[in-house]
Amino acid sequence: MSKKITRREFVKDTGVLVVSISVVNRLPRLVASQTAPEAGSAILRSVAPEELDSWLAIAQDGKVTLYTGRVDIGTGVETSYAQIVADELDLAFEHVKVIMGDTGLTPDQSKSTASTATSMAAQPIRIAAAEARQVLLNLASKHLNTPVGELTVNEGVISLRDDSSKKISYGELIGGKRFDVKLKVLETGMWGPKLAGTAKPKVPSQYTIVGKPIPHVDIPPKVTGSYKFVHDVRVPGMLHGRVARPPALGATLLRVDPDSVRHIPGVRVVHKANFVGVVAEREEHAIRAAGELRCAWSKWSGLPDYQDLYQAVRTAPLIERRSRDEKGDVEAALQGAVRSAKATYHYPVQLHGMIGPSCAIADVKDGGATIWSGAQWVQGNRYDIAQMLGLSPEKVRVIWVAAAGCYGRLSVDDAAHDAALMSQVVGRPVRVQWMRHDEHGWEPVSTPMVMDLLAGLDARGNVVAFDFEGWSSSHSSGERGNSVAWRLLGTAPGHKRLSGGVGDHPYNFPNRRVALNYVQPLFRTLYLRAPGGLQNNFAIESFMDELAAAQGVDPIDFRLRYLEDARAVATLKAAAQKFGWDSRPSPRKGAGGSGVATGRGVSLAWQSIGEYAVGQRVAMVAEVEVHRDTGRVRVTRAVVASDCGLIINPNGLQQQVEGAVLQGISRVLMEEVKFDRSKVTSLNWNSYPILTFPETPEVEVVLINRPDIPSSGIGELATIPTGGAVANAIFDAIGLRLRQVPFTPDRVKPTLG
Amino acid sequence: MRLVLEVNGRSHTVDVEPDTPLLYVLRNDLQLDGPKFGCGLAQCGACTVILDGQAIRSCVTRVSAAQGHQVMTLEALGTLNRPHPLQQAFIDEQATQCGYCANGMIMTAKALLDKNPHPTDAEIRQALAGNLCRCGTQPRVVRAVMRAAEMVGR
Repeated sequence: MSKKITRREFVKDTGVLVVSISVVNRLPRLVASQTAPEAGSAILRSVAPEELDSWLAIAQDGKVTLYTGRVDIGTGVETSYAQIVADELDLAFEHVKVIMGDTGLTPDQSKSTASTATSMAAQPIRIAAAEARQVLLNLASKHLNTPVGELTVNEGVISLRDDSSKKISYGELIGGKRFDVKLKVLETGMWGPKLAGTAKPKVPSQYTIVGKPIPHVDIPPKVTGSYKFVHDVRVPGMLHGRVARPPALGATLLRVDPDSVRHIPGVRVVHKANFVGVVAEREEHAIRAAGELRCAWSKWSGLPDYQDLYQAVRTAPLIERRSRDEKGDVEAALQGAVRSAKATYHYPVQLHGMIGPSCAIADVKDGGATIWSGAQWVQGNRYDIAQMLGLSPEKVRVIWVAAAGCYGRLSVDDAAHDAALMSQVVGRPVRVQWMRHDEHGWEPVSTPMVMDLLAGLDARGNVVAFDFEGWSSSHSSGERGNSVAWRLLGTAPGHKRLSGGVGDHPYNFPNRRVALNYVQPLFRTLYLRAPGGLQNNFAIESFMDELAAAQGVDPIDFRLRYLEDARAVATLKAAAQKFGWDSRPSPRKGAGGSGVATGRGVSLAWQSIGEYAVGQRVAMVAEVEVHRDTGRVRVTRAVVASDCGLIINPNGLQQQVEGAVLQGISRVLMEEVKFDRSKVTSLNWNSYPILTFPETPEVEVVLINRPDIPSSGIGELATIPTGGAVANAIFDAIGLRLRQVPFTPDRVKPTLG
Repeated sequence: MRLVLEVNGRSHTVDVEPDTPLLYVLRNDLQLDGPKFGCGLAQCGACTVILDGQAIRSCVTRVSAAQGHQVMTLEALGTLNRPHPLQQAFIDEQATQCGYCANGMIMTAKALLDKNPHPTDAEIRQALAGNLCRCGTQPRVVRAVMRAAEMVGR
């Protein structure tokens, strides 16, 4: 038996806590057993998805390393992936190490977004691990001269089922050597490769580690200060860089005066087209220089008027209208309806709001580049930076080192583009860390949205037609080809992918239509946790509540009339039961009184089969206090039920649900980006406040496990019901309907009249 | 300008301008990466260190103001193998996600518990009111501080 060590010791021993020096020193050891890389290439081991060796390596001591192109942005997937590999390979959890998001070492698994970590991205990991186990069993069969069927595996040691003294370990069988086994790549899509092997992965009833609430492996180093964030990476010879940004988002440079910062020690101005940056030996000098550098910029006022934002969204040039799940004949049904109801909902521009601003280090030399980045999409940034700098992608390596929680924002790593551009000019490694005003003022925001809802009802009040029509720009215009640095260079190709999703819902109305009008972007945008989902659901679930209230029907009873999906029904009922829902129509009696009013509201989020996974359901009940004198709204209780199929790690899942709900509550209660015609004016946490400790409710979570249904992620979906649940609770409390996010006192109080 | 700093019980001499924010000296000169840059405006708490028992924002504290005082950073609390009760409580409660704000949460809580070993839920929330977390771990952080108070109090 191998000595059992704790994961903590293992992490410490193997130096997985990445810092610049140890990264450099660690590489030869990692690649020693691999095929020699091509000279000058930034790809240091096999990363081809069809090679089993690209995914897994077994060391002589039997410890297993998983190489995944996905990264853990604080959601705990590093732990979940180790659980999956340990289960498929019959290993101790502690003996699995995960290397994430290094374009020189890991297969391309696309971007770590859209809650696809445990669905799409876990698929090849599971297949590779199952295949590796079969290969090892076959090797052991020869070695022990026993048929595979008579062998058993326990913690990486294969033995005879009947005689455990006849055994051999994974390390002895293959330690330090290659598998040299091919897998079949079934598809390489938007979410990375899907694989097939000859081995059959385990079925959920065989899992012993998957499904356990294993504590996250990254938390002990994070709370003891030994975890290394990208902000903590230091490279020998590194300079500190800052960007001198224009006073208007689209301004062009007229003049720069390098003499204006000559008095600051060691400063060098980097100037290329409209990009102006500074580098210095010391960080505080770079900050000072960026602030004091005199530049003259053109005027620019291309943003919409804040007061007319939603009209600007509605009237912006149309790119494409998309609809889905159309059923029946909505127009005819509306014509024939006895009554109709309609309402328009508005959702503002919001920030991802990373607590730690963008930061990256780039070392561009000898026709290649090494970038230390917190990017959620290492490959996307690798190709973009290569193209921006005029380098071959083969010579660019992006090494992921965790950033602060980013919620979509770091699919494009703007700081990495800044650092790469400046390093190429100055010929030394450059570290760029954005200032707070850079992050708030220049991050790729979430797009504003307008949503029109229309329903037709028959004489008995049944909904016979339901029509959703939204206006939004894509949530992805900043995803690729559009970094701030590249835009300032004037050579950015832009990005045309339309994303954000149509306002889908689970309600089985006889005639239904959901359509979204993608308009030209008014801002540089990037998907913010549940892009489009939170917005659409706020509108749909508020409207459902309006329809229920108009008929004097309990909001849950009303929804159940139109729900056929058994999982959605069960999830909704689970949340209601946990909350102690009292069946009655909204608003509550006495909603027109004075003082502090309380109310409860419900919302249901649903993702259909097919898009990213097999679908998830989340139901939420929110309880609020509305202070009539101030207009202040406080969420006092949040109860959430979630069904996302098979649970990999209930500990991680619960954390994701809690965090998603609290972030959603913050967004709908407090958050809105302010801007003038030239720039964002919400430049810090005072002008863009988020939820604080005294305002934070407890989140009560019901996890519904469905081992028969493959896993889907939850980090986005649990954000989605917050808007509807809180708006509906406010309506229940005071009898007035808020159709615009956020529900700030200045919006609530005039409504109170 | 040469300055002498007492950090985590050790004396360090640094050569920096006196108005340099303490945070940059701790991170770049002393390689203490526990404190983090979050906003540079004393609005988020990621940079919190303890100065003579007070939780302060090192991003807006001039390094010269720390001279002659005892500075404590997260590194002085505990290690992976011997975590401080607060750190252990954060592990037990799984009270961080991305972890970027954890330094500020723990250092602020440390200063609180040193003065008030048995805080109420409301007192903990008030002490942490200026510490921002974007991942939504606040309820777990409150529980972790409660748990640490119990561990120390036993």
